[in-house]
Amino acid sequence: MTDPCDQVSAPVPCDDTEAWDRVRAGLANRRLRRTRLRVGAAMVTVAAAAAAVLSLWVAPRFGEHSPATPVAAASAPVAESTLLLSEGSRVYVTLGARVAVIASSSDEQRLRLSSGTATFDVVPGLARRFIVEVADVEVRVRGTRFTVTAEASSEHVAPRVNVDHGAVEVLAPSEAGTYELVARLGAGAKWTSGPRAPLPLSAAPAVSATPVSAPSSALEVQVGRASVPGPSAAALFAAARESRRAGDLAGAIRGYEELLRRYPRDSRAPLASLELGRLKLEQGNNPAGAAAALERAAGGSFPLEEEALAKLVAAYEHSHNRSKCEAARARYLAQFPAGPHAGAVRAACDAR
Amino acid sequence: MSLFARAAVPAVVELARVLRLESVRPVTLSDRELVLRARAGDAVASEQLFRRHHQLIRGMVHRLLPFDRELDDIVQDCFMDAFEKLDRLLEPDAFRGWLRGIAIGRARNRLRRRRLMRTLGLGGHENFDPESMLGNGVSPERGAELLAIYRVLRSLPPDTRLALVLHRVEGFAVREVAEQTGMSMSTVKRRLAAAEAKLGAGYPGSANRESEPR
Repeated sequence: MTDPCDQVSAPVPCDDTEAWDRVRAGLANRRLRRTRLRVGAAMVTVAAAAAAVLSLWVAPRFGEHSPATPVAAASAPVAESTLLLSEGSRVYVTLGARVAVIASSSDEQRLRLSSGTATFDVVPGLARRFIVEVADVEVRVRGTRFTVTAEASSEHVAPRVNVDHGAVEVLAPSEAGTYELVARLGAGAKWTSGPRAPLPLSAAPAVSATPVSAPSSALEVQVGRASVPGPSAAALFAAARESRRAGDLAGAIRGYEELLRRYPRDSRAPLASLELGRLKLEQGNNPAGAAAALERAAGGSFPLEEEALAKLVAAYEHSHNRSKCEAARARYLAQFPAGPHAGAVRAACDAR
Repeated sequence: MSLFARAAVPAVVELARVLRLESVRPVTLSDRELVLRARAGDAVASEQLFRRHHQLIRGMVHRLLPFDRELDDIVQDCFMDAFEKLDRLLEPDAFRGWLRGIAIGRARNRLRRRRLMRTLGLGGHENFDPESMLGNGVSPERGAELLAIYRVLRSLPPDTRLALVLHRVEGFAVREVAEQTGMSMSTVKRRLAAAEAKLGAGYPGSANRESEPR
């Protein structure tokens, strides 16, 4: 298979544009990952169940914070897993971590992290509190994404909290026995604690993980695997790209759509949205679908936002949606008045 | 067309070209200039560096790792590494050679990882079809040499394979192979000798390439 860009065996013109777009997107994603301060695999400590007590605050827990029997537990001894909670919040559990849902009521949702690292993506605007217990520390959230690590040894647990976005409060038991605020963390902030007493993770009652599509009426909290074992985001992206190269537009579209459905937050999602929009425009029979994908690509901080916006204008023009076309045109020209597509964008949206 | 018009047309064309270039990208700058501008945050300069060297790097990686399904990702990673580390390039004039070194390093790691996977029984085999690598314009003699080389490649340790491809296919002098791979000259020579023994000899001049300019 001769590489079309190979200068030695087949010196033919090679379109570098797509490749450059990927490099730009890749650089932006690398920078985004570094600034997010998310606890990744490097910070994961796989721990066995803790036993002994060693705490900075010696007071026992009282009242509403008394230990409760876990309702459901999930551990990921082999691979990462995702828990989907009934209100739409997600918990990403890393290898070896152990998370249990302690309680769920109209007032609060309470989970316990006994070991390892988990990232909590909490739906904003919930009426009830969302609380994560780690050792005797509570992390309370109000619509945010944060990561908690329970770095556990055989005798103690050292909690760590990193906030991706939103805000969390960290509370710990005082000498009086009540919980008091020890830290309020905003986006990018982190909090660490010394060794603390672990809380026992009682043997959970036998609860089978319920598939998302078939909620159990017996449980108020629906815990299931949000991501069915299947192809990775990288595999889906590569397959979609191969389909496009082979001229299979429909196959490429299906591939990108599946990637976006399964991995909406993957680093490839913005580029996949852009590619999906381009393909649907190319197909010609679904400009509205193209516009939807391109809106997604143009919606965030993305190195290819300029191109996504330009294509969005074209998509609305093709779908004869003048008002949205003009809105997208204004948006493009406000951000990229001298952009490479400015000329074409200015001429777009006129009534035909 | 009058004399004046005949003279004016090229001037107008040149002016249009200059204007267009200045509004699009500085295509006439040296690597050194582009590196300095890219370091200062000039995205157009970064793009021009990429476009100038992309085909070269992609071709080289393709020949080092034929039929690797992740070729695009590997090449992409090479350029991302380069742009992230651009501040560490002491001699901006040497961008091309430095970039090639990054690509060779990536290819080397890839070969080693594949070999480890094969050793552990976890795959790592490549779908090897050297015949289809030959494109138009390759002479029969050169084609035969390439085929012979690539048939032997599969059996070689990663560093030996790397040295052989860089020397035989890419045309690197022994000194340059040593510089790019971090191996000593004597090690490179030893590995090339072992590889060429496997090739069955018959390819003259291997010892003389050290003095050939690159």
